Amino acid sequence: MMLLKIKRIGEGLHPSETRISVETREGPAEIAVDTRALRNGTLPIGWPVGKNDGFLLVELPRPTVNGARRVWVRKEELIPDRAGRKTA
Amino acid sequence: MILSDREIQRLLKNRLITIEPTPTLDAYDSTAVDLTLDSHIRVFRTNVPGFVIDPSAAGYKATALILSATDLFTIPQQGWELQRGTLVLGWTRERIDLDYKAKVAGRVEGKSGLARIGLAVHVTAPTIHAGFPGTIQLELINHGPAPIKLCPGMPICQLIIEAVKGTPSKAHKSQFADQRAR
Repeated sequence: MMLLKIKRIGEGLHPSETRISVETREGPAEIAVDTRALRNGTLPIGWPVGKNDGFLLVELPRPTVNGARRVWVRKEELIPDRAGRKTA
Repeated sequence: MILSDREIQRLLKNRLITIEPTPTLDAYDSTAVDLTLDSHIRVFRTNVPGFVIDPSAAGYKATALILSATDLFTIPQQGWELQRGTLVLGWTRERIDLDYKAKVAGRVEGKSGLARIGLAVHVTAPTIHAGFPGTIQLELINHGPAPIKLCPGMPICQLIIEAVKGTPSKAHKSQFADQRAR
């Protein structure tokens, strides 16, 4: 599985949440995620679900503030998850 | 297919899903498990002149807007009254994690006893997707005839777990598995 690079923006709506930004094909996208789900400055996203023209389609654990669950990211934004969950 | 209480408990025991803190046995019914209200809520400031939410505005960001338009409030142990016609954002005390391997998704629904006094717990967004980690955000609205007292730890909603047929794409090792970062 893969980890998506993120930037921390600040606190979320609830003390358990963190607002982060991920770099997508359309520009930075903001998400409020569960802080415990973050791992060393990355967000586990499972496997990409599509690819096109150098970009990979990834599904986020929660929608962005604009409502998108799947976003296109450059493959350089992803890191292999050596310690992640086993796949089905 | 909705999972029974025994099936939910089997998934918990095998760590395929987690609910923390672990629900007590009396939190279950045959096809759901009750979740409880966290002490933190967000209360909208409604007395701001000219305050209008425009989701179609360029650069609209829901989270930032809610942060700027609400106050984080801690419900005292003795409770807090949710006034008629008022929306607040709440959360479950429980943090859940639905591992892909469990092949389940969830749905959060209200409790009938609270529904009958007018308390709604979500605004048409009940789905907890496979792989979801975190506390569940609730949109609490009092549609009833009188203020409703909210107390931290009160059973506020029920979590229904449903089987997912097949493996979601993001959990399926595919042709993208050989991607490497540079």
